[in-house]
Amino acid sequence: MMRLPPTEDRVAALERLLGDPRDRTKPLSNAAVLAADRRGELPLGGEPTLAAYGLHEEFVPSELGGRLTGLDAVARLLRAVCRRDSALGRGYGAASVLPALCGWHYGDEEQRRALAGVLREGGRLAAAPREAPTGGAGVRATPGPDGLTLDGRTSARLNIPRADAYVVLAQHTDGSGDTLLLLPRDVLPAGCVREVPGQDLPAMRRLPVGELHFDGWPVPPGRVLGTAGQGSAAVVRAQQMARPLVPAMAIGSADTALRSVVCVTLAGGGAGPALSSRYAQEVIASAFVDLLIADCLTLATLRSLHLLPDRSSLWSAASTYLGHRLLQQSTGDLLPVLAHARHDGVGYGTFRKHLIDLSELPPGPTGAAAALSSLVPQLATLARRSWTPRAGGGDEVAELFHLHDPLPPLDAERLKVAAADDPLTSLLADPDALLAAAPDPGPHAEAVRARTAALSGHLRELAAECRELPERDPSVLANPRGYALAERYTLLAAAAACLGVWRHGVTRTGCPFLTEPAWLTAALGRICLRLGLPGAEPGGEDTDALVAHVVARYHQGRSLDLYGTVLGDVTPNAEVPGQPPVPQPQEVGGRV
Amino acid sequence: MAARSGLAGPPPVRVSGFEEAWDGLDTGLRDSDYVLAYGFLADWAPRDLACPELIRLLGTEAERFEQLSHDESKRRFAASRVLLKRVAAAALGAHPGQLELARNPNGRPYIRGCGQLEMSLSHTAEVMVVGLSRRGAIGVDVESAKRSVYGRGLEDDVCTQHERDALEWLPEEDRNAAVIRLWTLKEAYSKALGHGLRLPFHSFGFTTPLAATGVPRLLRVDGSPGNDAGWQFETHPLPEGYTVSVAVEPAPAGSRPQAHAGALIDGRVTSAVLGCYLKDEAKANAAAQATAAEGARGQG
Repeated sequence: MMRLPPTEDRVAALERLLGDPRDRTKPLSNAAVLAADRRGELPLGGEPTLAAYGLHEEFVPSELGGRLTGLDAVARLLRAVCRRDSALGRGYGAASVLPALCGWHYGDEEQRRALAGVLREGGRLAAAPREAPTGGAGVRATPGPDGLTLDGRTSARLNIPRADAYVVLAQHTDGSGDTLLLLPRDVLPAGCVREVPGQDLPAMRRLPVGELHFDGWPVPPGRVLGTAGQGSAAVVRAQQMARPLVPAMAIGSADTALRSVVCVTLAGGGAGPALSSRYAQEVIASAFVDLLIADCLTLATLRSLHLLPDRSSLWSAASTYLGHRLLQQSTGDLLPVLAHARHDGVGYGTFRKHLIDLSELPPGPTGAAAALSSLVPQLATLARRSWTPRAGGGDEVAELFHLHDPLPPLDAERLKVAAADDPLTSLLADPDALLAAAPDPGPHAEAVRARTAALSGHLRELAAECRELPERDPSVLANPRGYALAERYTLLAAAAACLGVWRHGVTRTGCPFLTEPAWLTAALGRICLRLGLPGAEPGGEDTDALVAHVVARYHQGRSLDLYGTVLGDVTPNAEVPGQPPVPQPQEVGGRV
Repeated sequence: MAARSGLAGPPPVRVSGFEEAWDGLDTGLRDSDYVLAYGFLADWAPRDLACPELIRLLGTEAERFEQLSHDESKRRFAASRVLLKRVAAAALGAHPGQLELARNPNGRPYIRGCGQLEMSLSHTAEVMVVGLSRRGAIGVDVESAKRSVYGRGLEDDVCTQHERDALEWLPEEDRNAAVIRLWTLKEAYSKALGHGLRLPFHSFGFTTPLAATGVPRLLRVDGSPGNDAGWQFETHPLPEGYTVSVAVEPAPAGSRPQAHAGALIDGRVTSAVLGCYLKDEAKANAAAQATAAEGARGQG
C-alpha cells in the first residue's frame, strides 16, 4: 500500500490549490465566491479545483485505492473548502460521505469495489437514509419471493439529480424492519430520478436537489447493503460517523466570517464600531473562543470514533448539537459590529454569506432535536455508572487530543449507539488530578481552578438530577426537561474537551498562543456563562490577548481554529525555520 | 410559513391566567410563526411568595428570586417568569414546570434544550409582554402610550435627524405617540440582536408610523432605506393604553417552523439507544449466568 503524506501536507496542498482568499484574481477568492453566491451559483472553477486535488479520493479507504485514513483528515480538508464556500464543500464532498460510509462498512467486496470506482472516477453519491418522522415522503419495500419491490419517493436530497449511485433506506411494508440499498444510477427505472427546484427547499441554496420516485420497481439482485431488514441500524452507525463532520465544516465557515469582520474593522469599518471599541473586541474574542471550544469537542469526537467507538455516540451527538449552536450564535453576535459598515463591500458580503451558510448547515432544528433525543435516554445510566473520578486521572482519553497522530481504522462493528460510560466528561469529576497533570496556567491558575471547580460541581448536580430519573424509560424525559439536561451535558462535555486539549494536545498545535492559558480561561468562562454559573466574566487582559492573536493570525493569513492553517499559498512572514508557526501577539504589533 | 406580507402579524393576545383557552396563541404561532402575548401584574403576581409550587416552577432561577430583597421585586420577577413559562409551555405543548429558563451569552433568554423557540420579554409598570418566534430571533418592547416624552429631549437621544424632521411634519398631538413607537421599535430591534442597547439608537432609523398598528421600514441614518435582510418590524397598541413593538428575524431560507416539543423527540433514535442498552444487559446477564454455572460446576 502506498504511504500517504501526513494530513498537514495534504491540507497544505489543498490550500495551495484553493488559493489566498484575499487575492481577488483567484477563482475561489472571497470576492469571487461572493459574486457567485449573489448569482445563485457555485463558484466558477470550484469543483474542477477540488477534482484536480482529488478530494473524492479522500473518501475512499486506502485498501480500495483511495486516501481515506481517518475522519480527522476528511474534516480538515472539508473545512478548508468550507472556509471558501460551504455549498461547495457539501456539494462536492460532504454529501457523498454518508453513503460512502454505508458502503465501506456494510457492503460486500463487489459493492465496495463498485462504490470506490464511482468515487475515484469523480462521481458523486447521494443518500436518502431516513425520512423525517412527519412528512409524506418515504420509500416502501414489499418483500416477495424474488426480492423487494419499491414504491414511494424519497424526500428531496442533495445531489440526487447528478449522483452516480444512491444509498436508499426502504421501509418494509410487512413491518419486518427496513433495508438499506445501494443502487447504481444505471439500474434505476426511467423517470426515477427527478430534479426539484432548489430555491423552495431548506438549506440547499445553489445545489442540485432531487427525489427518487419508485412505482412497483423490483430491486435487482445484489443491491442490498448489509443485512436485509436491519437497514436502520446501519444508517444510525454511519450517521454517527458522518455527523461530526458537519460542525467540523461549520468551523471553516465561522472562521471566514470572523476573519471578514476583522478585515472590515481593521479597514475602519465605516460608521460601525472600530476594532478599538470594547464591544467589538469582546464579541470578536468571544467568537474566536467559541470556535476553539467547538474545535476541541470536534477533535475529541472525530478521534473517538476511531479510538473509543463504543463510547463515541455521546460526543458525536454533543458536538452535533452544540458545535453548530455555538458557531451560529457567536457569528450572529458579530453582526452589530458591522451593522453600519458598507453593505456592498466584499468584507461585509462575505461575513453575511457565511452567516447564512451557517444557518443552512445541518443539523437544523430537527437534527438538533435528534441529537438531544439520543442523549436523553443515556443520562440516567451515565449518572449511575459514570461521571466519577477515574483511575489514571483520565489518561485513557489522552489520545483523543493527540492532534496529528495517526488513527486506527474505523470499525463500524464496534460502534454503539448507547455508551456504557463517559471517560471524557468524567475528566471533570476529578478537577484536581486533571489540573495537577496539566500545564501550569501561571497567573490564570486561580481563574482556571475556580471555573473548573464550578463545572465539576455542575456535573455533580447534573448527575444527582439524572440519578433521580428512571433508567430505560424515555417517556419520562421526552419533554423539555430532558432536553435541558441533555443540553447541559453537551456543555460539560465541551468543557472537558477544552481541558483535555489543554492537558494533552495544546503543544501539538504548534501555536505558542494556545499553550498560554488565556484561551482556556475564556473558554471555560464562556461555558460557565452558558450554564448560568457565576464568576464567568471575561477578563479584560484576556480579551486583549485574544483579539491581538486573532489580528495576528489574520495578518499572517492563517485559520482561526486549533490548527492555524496557512490559507492559500501565502508564505507567512517568511519565517525562520524552527520558529513557531504563529508568533506571539506582541511580536506582531502588540495590543490593538 | 407565512410569507412576508407587509402587514402586521396578529395583535398581541391578552392572557390572564392558567385556566383560560389559549386559542389565540396557537393560531398566532401556526399562521405567522411568531406571537405576542401580554399579561398584567395583577393577574400573574403570586400571592404567596414562598409557595413551593412557585419555587419549583422558578427552578434554576429560584436562588436569584430568593436573593431579591423587596417583595415588590419578587412579585414582578415571579410574575414575569410564570407568564413567560406558561406561554412558552403552551407553544411547546409541555408543562411549564418542565421548562428551564436560560440565557445565551448575548443576554437573550431561551428555554434550555428548546433553542429553536426564540423569545423576548419586556415589562413596564403593570404590564408584561412576551414574544415567541419560530422564525428567528425576536425582540419586544412595551411602553405606556401616555408617557410624555416628546419635547423632553428623548427624541434627540433616540432619533436620527431624518426621524426628527419627519416628526416635525406630524400634527403636534401625534408626535408623542410617534416618538414612543420609534423608541420601542429601536429597543425591540436591539433586544432581538441580543445586545440590548449596544447599537446607538441614532445610528439607524425607521419610517415614522402614522397609525397605532404599523409595519415600519428600517432606514439608514440619512433616511434612505436600509438593508433589513427580511426582518419584520411592527408596532401594536394595547387597548389598555400601551404601545408594543416587535422585531422578528427571518427564518433561514426555506426552513420549516418546528412543531411541539413532543413531536421533536425522534422516537426511533431513543428506541435504538434503549435497545442497545437492553442488548448489552442481556449479554452481561448471560455471561454472569455462565460464570455462575461454571462456578457451581467447579464446586460440585
